[in-house]
Amino acid sequence: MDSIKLSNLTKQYGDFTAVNDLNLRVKKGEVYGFIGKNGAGKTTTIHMLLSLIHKSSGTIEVNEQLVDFKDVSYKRAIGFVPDVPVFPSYMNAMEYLRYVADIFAIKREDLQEHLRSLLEFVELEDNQKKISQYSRGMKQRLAIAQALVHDPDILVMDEPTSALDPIGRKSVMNVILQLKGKKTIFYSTHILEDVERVCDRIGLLDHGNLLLEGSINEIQDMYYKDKYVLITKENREDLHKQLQTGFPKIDAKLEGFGVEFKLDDNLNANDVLEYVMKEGLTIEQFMPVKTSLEDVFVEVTNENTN
Amino acid sequence: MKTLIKYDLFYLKRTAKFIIFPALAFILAVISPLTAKYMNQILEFALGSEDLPLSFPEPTVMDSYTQYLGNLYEMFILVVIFVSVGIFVRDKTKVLIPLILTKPISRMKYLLSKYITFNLLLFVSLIVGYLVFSYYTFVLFGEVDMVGMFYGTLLYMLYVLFITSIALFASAVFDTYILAMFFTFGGYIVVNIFNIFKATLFQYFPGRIINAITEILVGTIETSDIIFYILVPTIFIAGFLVTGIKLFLSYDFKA
Repeated sequence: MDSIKLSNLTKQYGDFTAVNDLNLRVKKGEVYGFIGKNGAGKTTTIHMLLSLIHKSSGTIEVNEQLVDFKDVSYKRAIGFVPDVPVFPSYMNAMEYLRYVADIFAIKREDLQEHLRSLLEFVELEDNQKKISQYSRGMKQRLAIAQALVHDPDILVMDEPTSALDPIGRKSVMNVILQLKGKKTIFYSTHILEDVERVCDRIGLLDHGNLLLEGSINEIQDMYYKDKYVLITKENREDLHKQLQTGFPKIDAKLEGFGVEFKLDDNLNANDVLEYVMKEGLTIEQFMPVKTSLEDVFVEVTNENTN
Repeated sequence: MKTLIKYDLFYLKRTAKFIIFPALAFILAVISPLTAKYMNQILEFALGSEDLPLSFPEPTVMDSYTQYLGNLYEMFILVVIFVSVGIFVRDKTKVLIPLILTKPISRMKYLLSKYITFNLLLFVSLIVGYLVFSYYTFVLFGEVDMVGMFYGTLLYMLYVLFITSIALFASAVFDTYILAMFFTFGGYIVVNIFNIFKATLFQYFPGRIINAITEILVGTIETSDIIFYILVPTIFIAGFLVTGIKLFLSYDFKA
């Protein structure tokens, strides 16, 4: 079952297209990392999903129900955590959670206990302080707590760690890790380290276009499978020339002290190594390219820009 | 809606507005009859001589009414303008709205709740003012038209509803407090300028409500006039509210 389904979703501001024909599915129970540079269209997409802004075209489905801008009932299934949450300064944390509980008309006998446990979960036991006195990290954790008050199926998080210091970020990440597997999480960020830690699948958005989508392993394989680095005693320019002569179709480029190349179906690593040795070159190192999501991110967004 | 009103009241309580308006109405209600009663002495004292060749008429209860209404029309309404714009536009300018509207809250109810709650507070404040004013006027002048003043207070409330509907509309149109405030204040000025024109077209404009109140207190108002004095401002209020809400419904909160 799809918790979120966006079909041909587009948002235009005059001539500027913020989100372009976006198709995306978030399966129930998964953590979906929605990544992209600042200004890629992530927040615009989320704001359309939450009916904070109107879409230009396309459809949005939440729990397989078509979303209508005026119909607010679908929001019962969603908890939202913004990037920089702003709360009424005159309230304390418990008062704010009670306010949210009232909005959702939650009628449970153990409401007070439920709210207290939420505050404990996000490590905000001292809830008598006014929210205006909270640090950014505390506000972010309160934002998570308020998003969980009504026990939603889906948690939409818009760059929840981007404005935090390392300690605040770690603390928020721990909370997210604890929620993994219990909720469907749509997690927007440009911090790829966080994505690698928590996400099951990712979608990469750039200039409003979804450039790629898949699990982290799939994406790494897609971009870096069969990529190797070869270093010889001889200088790397010679090696590069030799490889291009021996294998005209090889995608080889100078990288570090050696040459990076990609194998294909007609070429395996042994063929390359045998050829290099036959040509009298002395191999010093031969290894697969280790890649991070960041490498993929840079490569894909660069390709899109070029 | 009940929940929203409850929390809008909570906001008013926590931010001292809950006290400011009843206190202001109370102060005006006390000062106005006192000023009317002792205006001659105040003038004599201010002019510094008891030998001026001017003679002031003896103050009457009508002076007390006029003084109170004048204060409500100037001081009270100015505070209403400044505060109401702040209330309607604050969630927008302080970026509080996105977190609230991601919950199952209708935008219309959200805005109406603020309008209703604030006007409820103003109504209670005006009732406080009415009671205190009536008491002080009776003590100082030995008479007071409580029924007339009550109707007058209700009509003045209609004027307040009109001004706050402009504030709501302005807050839906503009993104900053200053712009919304200027627009509302401009509306207030324009409405008062229309008082100058004697044409029938403007006879029942909201700014003329003060005339209606005076006519009630003097006892010269016709029933048909009362209907129009209520109907015309109500149409304006409905117009501002409907347009303001429509604008708010179609508003895109910036990403």
